[in-house]
Amino acid sequence: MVLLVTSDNEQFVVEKEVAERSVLIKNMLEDVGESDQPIPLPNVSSSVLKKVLEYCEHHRGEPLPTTDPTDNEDTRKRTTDISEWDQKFITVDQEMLFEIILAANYLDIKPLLDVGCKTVANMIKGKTPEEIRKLFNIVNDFTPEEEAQIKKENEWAEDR
Amino acid sequence: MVSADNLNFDCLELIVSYLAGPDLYSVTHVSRSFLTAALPLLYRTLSFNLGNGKRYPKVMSAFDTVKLHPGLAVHVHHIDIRMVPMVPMSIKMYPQFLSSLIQTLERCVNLKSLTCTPKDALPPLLAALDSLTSLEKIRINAHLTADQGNSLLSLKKLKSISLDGASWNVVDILPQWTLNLNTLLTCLTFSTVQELNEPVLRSILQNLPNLRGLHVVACPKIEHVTILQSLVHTPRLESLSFTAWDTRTIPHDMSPLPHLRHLAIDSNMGSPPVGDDGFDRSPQIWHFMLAKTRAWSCPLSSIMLKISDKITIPSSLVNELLDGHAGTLTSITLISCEFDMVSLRSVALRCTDLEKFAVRVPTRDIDVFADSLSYSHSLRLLHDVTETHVTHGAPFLNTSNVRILMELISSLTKVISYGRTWTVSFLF
Repeated sequence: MVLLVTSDNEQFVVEKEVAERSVLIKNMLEDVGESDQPIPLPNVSSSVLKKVLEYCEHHRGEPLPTTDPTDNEDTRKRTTDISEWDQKFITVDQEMLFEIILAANYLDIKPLLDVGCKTVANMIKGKTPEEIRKLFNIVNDFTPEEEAQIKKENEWAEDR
Repeated sequence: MVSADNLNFDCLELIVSYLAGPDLYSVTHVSRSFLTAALPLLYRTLSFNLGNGKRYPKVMSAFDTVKLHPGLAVHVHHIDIRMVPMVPMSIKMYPQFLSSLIQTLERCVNLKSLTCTPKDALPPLLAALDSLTSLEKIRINAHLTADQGNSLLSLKKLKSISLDGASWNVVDILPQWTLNLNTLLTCLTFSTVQELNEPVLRSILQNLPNLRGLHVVACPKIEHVTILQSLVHTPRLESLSFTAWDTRTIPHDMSPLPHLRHLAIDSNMGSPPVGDDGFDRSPQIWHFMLAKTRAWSCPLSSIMLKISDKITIPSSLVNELLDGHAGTLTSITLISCEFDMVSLRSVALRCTDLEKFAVRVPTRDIDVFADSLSYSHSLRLLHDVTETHVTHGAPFLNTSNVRILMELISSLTKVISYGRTWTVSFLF
C-alpha cells in the first residue's frame, strides 16, 4: 500500500498497482524503494485526487502507454473518441475538468490527460472564437487591429 | 480558479492537437496563448485547393503568410497544392502567388511531403526542390521537359513517388531515378501515365526490392498481366492496385506475394452486359487474384473491387473471398456490384473484424439490407457507393434510412452517402 498526502493534507491509502498508474508516483517509489514514507502531492487537492484515483482504480491492470518511436505527430490517428466509461467519468463541471487535466499532467497519467484534453477539444469543435472565449471565460488579449491581422493571415485555413 | 486561461502550455498544445480544419483556425484568434499553441499545427500542412483559388487574391494564401513570417516555415511538414490561381483572361499564374510559393518551398527545411497536381504548375518550382533535403514523399503531375525531368533526380531521400500523369521524358528517367533510390523507395503510384510501358515498368521494379506499395491505375499501355508478372521482383509487396483493361485475361502464373494486405482492382468490362440472365459476369481476374491470395495465405485487410458496368456478383465469388480472408478483412469496397442478401449476411457473419463496408445501399430494400448486416458486431462505417446513373431520380439515402441502419446494426457509428455523413451521436 502507498500513502498519498494531498495539498489540503488529506491522506489516501492506495494499492501500489493503482497508484502506479501515475508515472510520477511510480518513479518516486522506484527511487525511494520499499518505504512507509507518505508521498506528498502538493499540487493536487483531495477532491481532485479522489476523482483521479477513481480513474486509476477503473483502469488498473491495463498496459501503460509506451513511447513508440514510430508514433509521431503525422502518423498518429487524431481521434477524439472517448470510451463510454471515460465519458461518464469526465462529465464534471468545468473547474473540475481543468483540475483533472492539470493533475493528470503533474502526476503523468497520459491516458487521463488525453481524455481530459479530448473532452475540451470536443467542447471547442464547431464554435466561433467568441463562443470559445465565453464558454471558458477567456479574456481576449488581442487589440482589434491584431485580431484583424491574425484573421487575415490565417483565413486560408478557414475552409480546408 | 483553474480555467482554460491558465492551463499550462503543454496541456493547451495537447488540446489543440485534437482539433483540425476550421476549428484550428477558430482557436488562433481566441487569445495569445491559444494562437501560440495552434500555429505550429495550423502551419504543419499548407494547402491550396479550389476554395482557396476562388477566394484568391482577396484572401491571401498560406504561402503569402509564410513569406511575411518566415519563422513559420520550420513548422511546415506538408504542402498540398490542388490548384493554382491564374490571372484572369490569361494563362499566367499570379506572380505574387508563385513568388510566395517558391520562397516558402526554399525555407521549408522540414518538408516531408509535397503534392502538386495541377498540370504545368511544377516546372517553376523545380529549382526550389533542391533545398528540400527532408522530402520523403511526392505526388506530382510531371509533364516536364527532359532537363526539367532530370532535376527530379536530385531528390534522393524519397520513400514514395506518385505520378498523376507524366511526359515521356519523365518516364524515360524512371529507371535511373528508381536505381538511385533503390532500397529507400517503398511506394510507387502511376495514375493515367500514358507513356508508361512494359520495359520501363520491368526495369523500375527490378530496382526496388523493398517496394511495399505499387499502384498502376489507368495507364493504357500497360496490361494487368504484365504488371502481375513483373511483381517477381517485389516479393515484399503489401499493397497493390491495378487497372485490368481486359478482365478475361489472366496470367499463367505469378510469384507469391505472401505479405499482401491491401488489394484494389479497377476492372474494365469491355463489352457491356446484356440483361440480368443469371450468367456470371464477374471478371476472371478477380477469381484469379482471390485464388492466389488464398493460396499464399495473404493477411488481406482491405479489398476494393470496381467494375465499369454494373454486374451481379455470384455468391460463389463472395464465398471465395470469405473462405480466403474472412478472418483478416477489416475493409471491403465493392463498386458497381450487386449481390444477394444471403451473401451479404455471410459477409456480416463471417468477417468478424469488418469495420468498413462500401457498397451500394438499396433504399427500397433498406429493411432487408439492414437486417442482413445486423449479424455484424464490428461494422462501424457504411459507405453508400450507389452509382448516380442507376438511381434514375430515386432518392439517395435519407435520415430515416440511416436511422433504420443504425438501429439494426448495433456497432454502426457512421454512414456516408454522396458527401453526406451521419453519425450515431447526431441521430440518437
